[in-house]
Order: sequence, then C-alpha cells, then structure tokens
Amino acid sequence: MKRTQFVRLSVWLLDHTESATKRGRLSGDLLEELEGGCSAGWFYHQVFTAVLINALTTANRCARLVAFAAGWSALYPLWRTACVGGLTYSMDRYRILAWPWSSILPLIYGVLPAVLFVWLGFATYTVLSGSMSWRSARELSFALSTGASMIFAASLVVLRQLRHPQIVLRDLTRTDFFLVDHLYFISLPIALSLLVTLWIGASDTPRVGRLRRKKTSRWGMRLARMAQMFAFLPVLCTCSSAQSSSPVPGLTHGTDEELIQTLRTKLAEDTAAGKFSGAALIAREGTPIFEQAYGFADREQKISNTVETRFRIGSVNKIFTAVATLQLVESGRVKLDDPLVRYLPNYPNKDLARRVTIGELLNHTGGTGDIFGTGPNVLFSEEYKAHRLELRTLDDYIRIFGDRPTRYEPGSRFEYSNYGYILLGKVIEKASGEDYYEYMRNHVYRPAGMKFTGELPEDEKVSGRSVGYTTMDGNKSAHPNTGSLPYRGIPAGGGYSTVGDLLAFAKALQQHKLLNANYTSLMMKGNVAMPHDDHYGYGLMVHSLNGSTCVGHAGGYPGMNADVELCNDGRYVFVVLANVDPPVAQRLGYFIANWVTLSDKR
Amino acid sequence: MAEQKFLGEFELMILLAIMRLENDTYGVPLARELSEVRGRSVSLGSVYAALDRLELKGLVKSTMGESTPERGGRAKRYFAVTADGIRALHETRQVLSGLWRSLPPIKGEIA
Repeated sequence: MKRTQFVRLSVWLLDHTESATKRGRLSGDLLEELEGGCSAGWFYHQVFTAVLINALTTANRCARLVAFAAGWSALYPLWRTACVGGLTYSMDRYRILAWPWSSILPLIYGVLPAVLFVWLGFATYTVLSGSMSWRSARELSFALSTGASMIFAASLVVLRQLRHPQIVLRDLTRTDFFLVDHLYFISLPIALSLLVTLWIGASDTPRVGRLRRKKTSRWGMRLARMAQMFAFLPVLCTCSSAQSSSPVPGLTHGTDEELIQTLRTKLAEDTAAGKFSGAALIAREGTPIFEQAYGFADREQKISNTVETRFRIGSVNKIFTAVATLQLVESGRVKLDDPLVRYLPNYPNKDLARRVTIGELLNHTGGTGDIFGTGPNVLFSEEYKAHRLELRTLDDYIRIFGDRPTRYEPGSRFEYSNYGYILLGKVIEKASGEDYYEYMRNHVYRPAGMKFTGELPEDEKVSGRSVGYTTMDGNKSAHPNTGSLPYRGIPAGGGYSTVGDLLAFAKALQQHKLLNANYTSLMMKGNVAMPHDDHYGYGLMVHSLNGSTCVGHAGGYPGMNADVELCNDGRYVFVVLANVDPPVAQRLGYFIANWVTLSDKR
Repeated sequence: MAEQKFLGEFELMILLAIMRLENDTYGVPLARELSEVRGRSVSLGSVYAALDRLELKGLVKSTMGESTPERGGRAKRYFAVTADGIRALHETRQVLSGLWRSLPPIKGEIA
C-alpha cells in the first residue's frame, strides 16, 4: 500500500507525542503492519489510540510536577524570612566594590535565595518520590543550572516589570529584592523553573532517554538521596548563623562598624519603603568610613543617586556665606560691629541699615525679617510666592524686601533670617569688589577643593543635579519641586553640592585653609541661644548632645533636605543629603550624631 | 512513595505474554497475543504505555532492533523480562493463587 500524505502526517503526529528515545518503535510497528496488508482503518485507529494514551500519560505525570511546584513555590516567602535576610545582611561586612562589581552582590542577595529554594525543592521532590532512579550527573547539573538561570532572568524581568520608582536595573540594591511585590511576583517564576528543573532532572518525568545508572542496592540509593538532601545543610547553617549575627534593630550606639552596619540596614530598608532618597557620608579623622547613595536622582529618567550626585543643600550655604564674611573680617575689610549701612549706603530702609550690624546678621539677631513665610503653618508667604521668579539677583531681593522695618530691637534675640544672609552676600560683594558667586568660587570652593558645588540657576542644566521630590504642597504623590524652587541659589541657601565636597569643606575649615584658627573657633563657639537649647555661632548651629557637641547646619525646602555636622571636636564629620522632603536627612543626621556622641567617649 | 511495586492487571498480562513469546518480542506480536487470549482487540498504544511503566519499574528491559525500509527506517524495540520482573511475577502469582485458594465459593459462579 502506498504511503499517502495522510499516513505520513499521522505517523509524524504519533512520533511527536513520544519522547525522543522511544520515538519510532510504535510508528515503525504500525508502518510495518500497514505494509504487511493491514487495513487503513485499523492503522488510523491504532494511531489515534496511541496519541491519546501518550497525551494522557504525559498529562498525568505533569500534573504531579505542577502540583508540587505550585505548592513548593507558595512556601517561598517563609523561606525568605526564615533564612535569607540573615544571609544577605551577613555579606554586608565585605567591602563595597566599584561598579560593575557593585552589582554582583545585590544580584547574589536577590537571586541566590530563589535559586537555593528551587534546588531545595528539587532535592525534596527527589527524596519524596522514592520510585525514581537517577539521571546522569550531566543531566542533573544541566537541570539545576537551567533552573538557576531561569530564576536569574526572571528576577530581572520581575524587577523591571514592577516599575518601582526606586529600582534601577543598572544600580540594583539588595532591598530591591525585598519589596513585598517582588516576593510574590517571583513565586510564579520559581514554580516554573522548579517545574523545568524537575522535568529535565527528575527521572520519573516523561523524558525517558536517561542513561541508566549502575545498579546499586536500594539502601545505597537511599543514602545517596540523603546525601543530596544534606548537601544543603551547610547552606542552611550559614543562613541561620548569619541570622543570629545580624544587627539588633533599634541599636543607638556601638562601634563604627556597628554604626555602618546599622545604617546600611536602615537606609536600605528606608529606601525600599520610599522613605529615603539621597546620599550619606561619615568620615572619622577626615577619612570616609561610610559613603553611600540611595534611590533616584531622577525618577523619570531612572537615574540613580550616587555619591557624586549634586543635591540641593538649602541653608548649608549659610556656612559658606559666614566663612566668606569672616574671611573679610580676618583681612580687615569688614568689621563685625559695623552697621550694614557702611557697606550698603543706598539700602532702602536707612533706619534698619544704620541699626543692624554684620555680626547680628551672622547670628540671626538682626530682626530684618525673612523672605519666606514666618508663621508656623505658612510655608511661603504670599509675598514670596508672588515674587519668586523675579527674584534673580541679590539686588532684586533688596528691592522687594528692603523697605521693611526691623521686627525688633537688633541684637535682642534670635530669629532665623534668610534675608539677613542675603544682606551678608551683598556685604561680601561690596567689601571684596567681587560678585558674590565669583567670590565663593575663588575664596571658598576652590581653596577647599570643592569641585561640584555651585549655585547656577534652576533653568540651567547642571550635570548630576538631582531632581527634588516633594509632597509638601498637599499633593499625595511625590513630584518634582521645580514649582517652588527659587530662581537660583543665594547666600542664604539654594545651592547644590555633593557629600564629598561638603566633607572637603569641613576638612578645609578644620585645617584652617579657609579661616585662621581664631576665626574658625569663633564660628564654632555658638554665641547666641536658639530656642530648644541649641546655640547659633556665625553660620553654624551648635548642638550639645550626650555630653559632646556637634556643630553644623541643616537645610530644608520642599523636595530637599541636608545636614552637615562636625561632632566630637570634629573627629567625626557627617553629611546627609536628600532629594526628598525634610526632615529625612536631619532625622538621619540626628541618629548619626546621637550615635557618635554616645559611643565615642575619649 | 512506596518501594513496593504492585503489578497492574494489564502489566501482569504483558509480562506473561512476553514470557510466553520467549522474550525479545516487540509491540505487534504482544498486542496480537493478548488480543487472541482476551478475545478482544488490544491497542498497540496501550501495550507500549504499559511496557514503559514496566521499564520504569525495572521489570522489563528493552534493546534496540533493526530498522527496515518497511518501517520507514524506524528502529524496532525488543522487550525482555528482567530478573526483577520474574521475581515480581512469582510474587504476584503466589499472592494471587493464595487469594484464589482461600476464596469461599462465590454465588452464581462455578468454583
């Protein structure tokens, strides 16, 4: 009988429902019978039945695998919390590596637990289904590595698909894998890869082309299976021991290493929870011991924060302005007791200019009022909002706010005044003959080695300048703060810098590169009492904490927060810069200040 | 899962048929033999499915045979009962005949 297309088709169909190694035996038998004179009806009946039986057998075997894989993957969150947190934290003690190696550890943190889980699942299945014999080592490792690579790929896909604003594939952090959504989304890939691993590696699965193992006794087989099971024990032990050595939450003092460990945990968790975005640096005796960035500089463009990201520093600029003023005092071109009018003879309100001294402006005791809102619940006064974008130069500020009278007798009390520092900026210009911004570049930033610090207008492109995200205007979802930023940084604040630059500034100040020893200590003395027990020096706040002091300055504005502090006689310097709303950086700053003042008793 | 391997009814028939055909037989003669004994047709697909199960249990072993033009170049696969298979057959026989012997007469059934 001639072989028709139809016969060929049915044979092809039959062959492809069978596993590779068995393929051909049944169809060969049927073809032989057909040649030998069997009826076509009989042939097609046999083909149909065989295809059906093969399909049912496969489905039956698959169902068991699917059920196991699904059940096992449901246990993943448990596995994660029981063991893996400790494992990943324990790896923190290793050095921070440079990119691209920096991505390796987070990937291991994120992927390794899932891979181990799949392998453990495979081992469990192998032990449970005692009827299996083994596949060759080659097949086994192929199965296990297939599972691992599937998880690896799936982890990245899941991270990408989650579209969490904090996740950048190029800059993964361990906490990216700790997001609850990731934990649940990864369960499906885990189930799938376990299924594939079992399919390839477990011998009772439909693929029967395995090489037969040398015959061993039943007990030998059991022992071998147990050995496979126990191979995972060292890993489990590592996990549990790591768990016990992980930092105790709520720790507030300890060694530097504990501080770093605690900060890493805290910042990673806060970042994952959307509570932190920025960079932090801690230096001891001038050497950075912690320097790390978290979150996004630009959420839309998915640009991560780095330690070289430029953050707005807000009122930290006041330290620079105070340094510049004191430099001029040091060189005799400005006197702290001089009234303002000596430098600004054309100031609109002559009475104010005659009564307020330079020293009072530096101490916020001039009573010159402020440019922003002064009430407790008013972020910006209507006046400021109306003029925000016309306020471009220092003269613009004086033109708008210069005819106001003093709010109280100058020198009588402290009232924080951004406006006073704008006036100081003008004094610097008059006394030095240089533009304020030029003066800062030439006499503060450059001598201190600050390469990334500046005050360029917000509408100019500044590479690496982060976007500030705010919810302070009542809008629940964080959005760029561009709608409230001033035109550009001013002597009172609004410039930008990096954690490294601010450390460089602190060191330059400590090493008397900016001011001589006399004026440096004058700055840090704290000569006027502020509310809440703190003192204000010239451009620096002095906090007494745990019997030590920290001097520094914070800066805050919608979508930005900064804190620079020198603690324990300057042995510790830390900088926290955030591109999210206050008090994120200051709160962290307080945590660090509290820690180092509690722990470092010399 | 249990180490104890029970023989299914159909699997037992297949094992016996292989023995009867004096080993190294393949699907078609097995199906024919069973059809004749049972008096109704046995599909080749179910024979091979049972053979696969038996092979997984280690009760039969298979060897690759010749591939002829009539078979479209497809190799034959010959099956033989293993030592384990023979042991299983003996066990099953012992159990079954023991059970049969101890069975009280069933109503309407010739004893």
